[in-house]
Amino acid sequence: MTTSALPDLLTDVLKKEPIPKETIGYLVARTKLRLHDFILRQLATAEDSQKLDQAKIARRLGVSRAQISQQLGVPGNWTVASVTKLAAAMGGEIEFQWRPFSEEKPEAFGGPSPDEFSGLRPEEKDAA
Amino acid sequence: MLTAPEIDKICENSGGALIKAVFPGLAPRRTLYISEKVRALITGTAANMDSKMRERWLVARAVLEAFVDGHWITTKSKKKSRAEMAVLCPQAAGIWEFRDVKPRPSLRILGGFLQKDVFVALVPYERSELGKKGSQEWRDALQNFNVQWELLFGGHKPMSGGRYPDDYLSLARPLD
Repeated sequence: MTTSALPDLLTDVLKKEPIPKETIGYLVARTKLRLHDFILRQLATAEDSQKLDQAKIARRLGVSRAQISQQLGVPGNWTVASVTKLAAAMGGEIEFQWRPFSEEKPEAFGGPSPDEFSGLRPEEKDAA
Repeated sequence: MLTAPEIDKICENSGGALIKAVFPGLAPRRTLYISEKVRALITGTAANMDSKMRERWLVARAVLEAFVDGHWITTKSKKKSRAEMAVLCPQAAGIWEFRDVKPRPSLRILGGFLQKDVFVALVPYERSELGKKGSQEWRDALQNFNVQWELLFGGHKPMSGGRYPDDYLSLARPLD
């Protein structure tokens, strides 16, 4: 099979001084995307358990529903303040975990189970 | 629908034009295939990339990693909605875009699904290259996508029809 293990930018960080500027930009994007995933996951849970919806979040934060929809769309402009507000409107706050770059991201590290995906996972489907 | 061994065979026979992307340290929850052009950009090895563009395309790499990592993904459901992925008109053609809007310049990667959660990221653009929706530049981009897809997959069209977006993506959140 033709696969491409793309360069590992995280171990690269451990080797280079100073850390390249473009790598910092990549790491910032990763963090924002993980926060985005986290907030969307909590929102899905809160919609089920608390009957929360975007309109209610908007009312709690005193902004329009369209603004909430726009904020939830992409995390490019997210700041600590905007994430904190979204979390507060859902009734919680975010806690953190430390993971050294040298350790692989475990399956259970704040993400969904692979079982939640119904799409092709070639290795598994071939083995089945 | 192509099977996993058939897709792997296409990769093998493509001479590097299509590869399965493996991101170190991530357990693949979705499957991503990328064209050589996408690979070169997100690894900063494309010709004539300055440091600003290398930085910009590394951010796009983070977006593709999030797809593979199984993040929730927002999908476009209104003309003005800001989402991470969208299906382009006409929906029947099955052409999607990754929309990476920040920081500027805004980027687009056109691609298509082979199966649910299995995406081929094929042709990358800066948004400014594409002009307004419906422009000649957009028509050229869609034509380019179709040519590239046909070269790789022959008569196998991108997945289309069904329920948007849930038949394409697990953990999709349409923006209302």
